[in-house]
Amino acid sequence: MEFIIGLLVVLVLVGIFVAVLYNSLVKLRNRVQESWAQISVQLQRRYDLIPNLVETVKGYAKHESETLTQVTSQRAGLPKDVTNLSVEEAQKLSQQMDREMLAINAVVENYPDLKASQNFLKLQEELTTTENKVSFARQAYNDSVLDFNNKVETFPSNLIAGMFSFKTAEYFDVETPEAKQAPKVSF
Amino acid sequence: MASTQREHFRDRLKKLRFGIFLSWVLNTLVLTFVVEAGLIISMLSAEASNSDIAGFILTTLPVSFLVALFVVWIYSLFADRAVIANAAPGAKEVTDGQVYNLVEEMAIAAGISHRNMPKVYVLDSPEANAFAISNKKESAVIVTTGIMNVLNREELQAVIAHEIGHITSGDSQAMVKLVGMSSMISLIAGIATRMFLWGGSGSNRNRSSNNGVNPVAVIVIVLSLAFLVFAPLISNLLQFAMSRQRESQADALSVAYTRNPTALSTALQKISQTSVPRSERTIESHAGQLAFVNLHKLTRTHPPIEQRVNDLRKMGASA
Repeated sequence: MEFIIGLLVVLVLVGIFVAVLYNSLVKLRNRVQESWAQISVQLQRRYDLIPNLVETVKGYAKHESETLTQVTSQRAGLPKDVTNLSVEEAQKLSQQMDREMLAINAVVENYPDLKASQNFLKLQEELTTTENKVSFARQAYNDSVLDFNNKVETFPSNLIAGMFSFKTAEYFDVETPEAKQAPKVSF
Repeated sequence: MASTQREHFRDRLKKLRFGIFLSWVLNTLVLTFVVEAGLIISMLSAEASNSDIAGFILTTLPVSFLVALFVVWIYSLFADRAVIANAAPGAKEVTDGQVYNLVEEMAIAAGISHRNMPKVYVLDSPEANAFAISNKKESAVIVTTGIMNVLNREELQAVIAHEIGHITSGDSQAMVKLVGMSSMISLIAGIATRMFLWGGSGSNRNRSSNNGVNPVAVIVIVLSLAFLVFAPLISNLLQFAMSRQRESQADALSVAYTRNPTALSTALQKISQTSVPRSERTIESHAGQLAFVNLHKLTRTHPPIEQRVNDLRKMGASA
């Protein structure tokens, strides 16, 4: 009888232990997903803003439209919705957009009128803030990944993580050196 | 932010919350005594005997305490609106433009979910300042046109990150109420003192020529009067210390969010060089403890600018 009670107590304690660790894992995973959603939203926004910028620049820069057409044509084969990308795909897209911005900026440099135009300045602010949001969202995402991965990999929560197959999340890295400098839009 | 750093913040936050709690208790007591002192100077006559005085105080003190509790409770319901109305009269809410974008950026960096995005107000004023308020349900960041003109985008971002830091660390809500309470204490104390000086209790004193004046009663009345004069200062005492700690912490949080200590450092230096007449610095005079900078030397609610800049240099600021 005493043995059974003892066994029950131990079982209940183990149950509570598992539940607490499981819940904390789920919470951390939700935070990773939520911060990833924020990155997606901002990437999509930047993705949509660049063609606007190209159009505005085209109005002024009639002679250098080759660079601009190139940017537009690169877009032709890509999907309209980029909110469902994997981490790797998002990184690639992010780097591509950095290159596009570099190309566009090089053109803009030659047109002081354009740089002073109200429409352009507004667009510039929108792009700056969106690029900042991407990088701050990335910062928040990577923080949440660090917390989650620590939980998944360290003892004793790694036992629970293994039991319910929680897998470590992927960091959103910035690989190329030019992208590592937070994309500054200095027209 | 690394986990260890976060632990460190949590530890400091605990101390801060305790300090704020102490300030609450202290303020309630101060308010109790303000009400009591007000009652004494308006109702106690100078020729009251010692036992009259003791009886008066014993019967009115519990009443004063209840009044104080009631006032604190009522006030805590609308403190945030009162603070905004005093410190930033005529501030307009904005939903786009650079300042709004910056608040969104910093909310993302701080991991504030979109539905909890602070509201953004712009105050048309030459004063270069900013502050944040929050209640249970929502929060807001208030920025002046003055600060927008003085700072560049990165510096403004650092300032807004500092304000968001106040909101996320959770101390802002209690602090707003405390600031509101302090200004109310000075209001009540001011009214009571003025009532006395304008002869509110004159009827008592005129009769005193016949009977002997009790020196103890005079001392009690004079002490009460003195207390009313100094009460606002006392109610601020603990807050000042609290406030300095809060500011250092918000600076650190700003760096954690922007990873740009230099921008905050240059922002502080630029603002310290502005000179706006004191009468136009509404934020500083009505919500000094909440403001981004408080250049007023007497009320040291903030660490000196030089110290804040030095701390930022330790975090890697290059200017």
